[in-house]
Amino acid sequence: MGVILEVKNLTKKFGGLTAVNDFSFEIERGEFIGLIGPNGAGKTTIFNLLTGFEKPNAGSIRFDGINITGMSPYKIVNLGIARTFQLVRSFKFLTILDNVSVSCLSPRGKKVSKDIGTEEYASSILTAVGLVDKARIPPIVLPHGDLRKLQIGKAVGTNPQLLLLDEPFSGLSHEEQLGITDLINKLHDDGVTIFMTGHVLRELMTLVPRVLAMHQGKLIADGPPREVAGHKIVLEAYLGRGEGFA
Amino acid sequence: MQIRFLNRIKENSLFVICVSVFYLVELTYILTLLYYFGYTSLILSTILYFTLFYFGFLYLAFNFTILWAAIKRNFKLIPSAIRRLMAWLGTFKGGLTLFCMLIIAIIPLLTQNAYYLGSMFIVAMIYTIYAASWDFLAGYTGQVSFGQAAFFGFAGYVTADRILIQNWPWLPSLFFGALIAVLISLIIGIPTLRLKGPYLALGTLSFASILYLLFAMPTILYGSTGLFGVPRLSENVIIEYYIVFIFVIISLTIMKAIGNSKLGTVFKSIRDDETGAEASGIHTTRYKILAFVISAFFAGIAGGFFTMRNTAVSAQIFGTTYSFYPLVMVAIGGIATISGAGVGAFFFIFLIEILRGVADFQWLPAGAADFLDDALIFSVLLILVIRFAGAGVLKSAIERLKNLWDILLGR
Amino acid sequence: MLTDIMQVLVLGSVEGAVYMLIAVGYSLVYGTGGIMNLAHGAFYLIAGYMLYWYLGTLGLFTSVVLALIIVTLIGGISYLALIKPLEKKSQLSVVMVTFAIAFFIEQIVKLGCSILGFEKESTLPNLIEIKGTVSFELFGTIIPYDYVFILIISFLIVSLITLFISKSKLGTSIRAISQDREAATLMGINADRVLMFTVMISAFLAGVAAVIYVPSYPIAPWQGWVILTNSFAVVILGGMGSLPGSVLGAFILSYASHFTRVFIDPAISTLVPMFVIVVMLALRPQGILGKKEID
Repeated sequence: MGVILEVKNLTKKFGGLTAVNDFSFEIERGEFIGLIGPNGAGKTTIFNLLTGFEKPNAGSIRFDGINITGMSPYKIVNLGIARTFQLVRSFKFLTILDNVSVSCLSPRGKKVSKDIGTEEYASSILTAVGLVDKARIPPIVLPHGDLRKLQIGKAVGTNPQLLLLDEPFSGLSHEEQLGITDLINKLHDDGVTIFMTGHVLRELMTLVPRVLAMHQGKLIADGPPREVAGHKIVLEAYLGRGEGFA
Repeated sequence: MQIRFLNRIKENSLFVICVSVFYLVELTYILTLLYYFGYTSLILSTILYFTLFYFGFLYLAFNFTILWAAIKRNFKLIPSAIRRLMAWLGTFKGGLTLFCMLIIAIIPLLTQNAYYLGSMFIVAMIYTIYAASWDFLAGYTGQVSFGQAAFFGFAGYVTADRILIQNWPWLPSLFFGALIAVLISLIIGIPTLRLKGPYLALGTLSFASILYLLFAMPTILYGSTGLFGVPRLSENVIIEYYIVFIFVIISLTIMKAIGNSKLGTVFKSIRDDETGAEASGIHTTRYKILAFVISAFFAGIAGGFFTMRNTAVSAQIFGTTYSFYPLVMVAIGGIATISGAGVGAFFFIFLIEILRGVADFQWLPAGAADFLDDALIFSVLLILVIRFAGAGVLKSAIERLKNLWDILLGR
Repeated sequence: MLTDIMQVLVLGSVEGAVYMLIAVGYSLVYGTGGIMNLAHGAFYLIAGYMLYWYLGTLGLFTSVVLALIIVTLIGGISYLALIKPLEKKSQLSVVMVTFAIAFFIEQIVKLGCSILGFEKESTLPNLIEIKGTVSFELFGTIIPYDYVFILIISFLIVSLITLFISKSKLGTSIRAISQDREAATLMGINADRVLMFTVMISAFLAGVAAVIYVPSYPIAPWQGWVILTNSFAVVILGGMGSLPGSVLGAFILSYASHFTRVFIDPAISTLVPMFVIVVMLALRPQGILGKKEID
């Protein structure tokens, strides 16, 4: 299998605030891993650093043996790391199909779409995420759950090896969450390595076999969900004293 | 090393298309020169042309394998393109466009008045290309140029220079002017388009005002009077009319086709969400530069025609007025439509004409005619349009007309 | 040689001081509201022409005051009527509307000249006359008293503005909004009102620059764009939204362009701002003193 992502001593400062502090971890190929932490713990900053939207002050990131520290976002995407955003973003004047087509037209997406055609590739992704019947409408009219699906579809279009999902469940109803969970599981079964964040613990804990917990920019626990949830610092930092784990 | 570089380029169909376009332009240019001047001049100017303007590109441009790969890849697209065109002509917008085109095509049969044909219709058509070039950049890619006159004017000067001083025929001069505009756009575009935000607006605006100052200087760059006595496309205004008409159709079709293609989808994604496009693996800078270059090319074509139409060019062409015109026209016709540029340009020209007519009537109080300065009126018009109707005045009118049409057909 | 150096120093300082005023205002608006105000050069223009039109009839003092009041009002009105409503819609339309305002003011200025019967391009008499002369001599260079006046006034005004921003209540609001507009709004600061005052201050600064500089420098309707271009160059050099950066940038740019004019070629000196813009954007887009990260 081998290590797909290797992060060493990653540090990011914003002015006086250290958002990510000496953060190190590894992800194996094909793993399914979660990142938990309270709001403001630095989860999104980690994602921004991994995908090149922020440049770290110190530390290194190696993906698939290549040092990607400080590379431009599009280059990183074309090496095989795709991401979604916590706040859904879409190309609002393009149709759903075209939203996904843009990813399929990126150099990495083209490797697949060249043979089967961009539109066909994009449609197959829409079928997978369950939006194929809405292919010709613009995203403004979509409900929130569908927008999350579209996000994932856009990320999948770049044909990633590693998929970073930033809070894929936030703001969704229970049914919508189930839909997304199925989708993520399906992607994982297809061989995509998945790394996702969440601050609602329950979904994440039942979904992933391994969890990283962070607090104030630091890694405080790493292991199976049960173990991490039982961790003393995690309980104190994250759940507040005295409250049990739901 | 070189082979790896070549392979990378071959993979990149975008680049291949660019190179093949360059190559075709080059071929036209060489054939025209051959036709007019024979071999000696051809060899001399080709050497100059190659060394000066094509740098290393040229070697690649002559790589027939690349060209062949591009043709082979895109050949199968042609029948489907024709099918889509026919289907489009059947729709309301397509039919309307066809109708407008037919009207414009038969105008010279209705009037042979040189003023109407020349100073109104031909100028309006030239402005159509010009405004469409701006709309291509702003409407599709979301990058705003406030100095489109830099390309318009520079190409105008270069075309005039080629025709008057180098005695070139008009077609290669026109393309040469447009290519120089492309080069200039690279100089402005590469530093400014790497950044997000309104840096392009800033760079183009500055560049145009500096060109104005430079070309207005009495001693350098043809002096403050500029170039004059440029021959028209043809002595016969009707021939001129149809040449420009053909160019308008070709230019607008190319721009519209790019807008509707996959490339256009990528452009629009940058317009809607640049960060998102980057997260989708798009090299946004490269695509923005490409859009800018295409825009500059068509602005250059328009500038060349404009100079030939006016038979003269001076530093005034770099003035903000000319950078401002495409904004007004597109604001009237509707942004991100390309054809709206045509609607806006004709509306603009006719409005100026009406204003002149009003000013000619002596029924206004003395001095009031001064207020009817068209630039002033258009600035007010633009402020109002931007403030109250973002999508363009005529666009919403056309939408309404379409609704009526649908109701009439019982849809 | 000495006169040449003196020329660079004197003209460079004077022009630098004027651009400092203009760029500080420009930078203030950009830093506070993120508004790329393309009408900034036009504010200079309208104030300059007001002075030019009224100087003969109303006298110096009245026309200066009138010009400043009018330009400040124009700033406020254009914010309230045009920029504010569009700000919510899109950044693009704000940039476009300021461009349209600038163009409109340029036309108004031309129209005003033809209605009032003034030449469109002109030079004004010197502001200050001491003992019947308008200038003194220093190291063989003739220096008008106006230049000294320009330096004094511009430094005075810029210090006052800096003091105002760091000490007054409105200044605190301005700083709060520039750091985080949403948070500031939640704290009960009326962002729209503060931005309106910011635009008015910026227009006022452009107006002051115009009334002190117009008597020393020919005025023309197209000049608004040149002023705008140069202030772009200044803020890009110094750093977008950074006031000390604007001051530094103004002087560097001005010395550089006068140096080029005297020692190299006047034609090339026109290209200096463009050169600065291109080089800075390519190498250090955040400017010399800019802290704000630009991606």
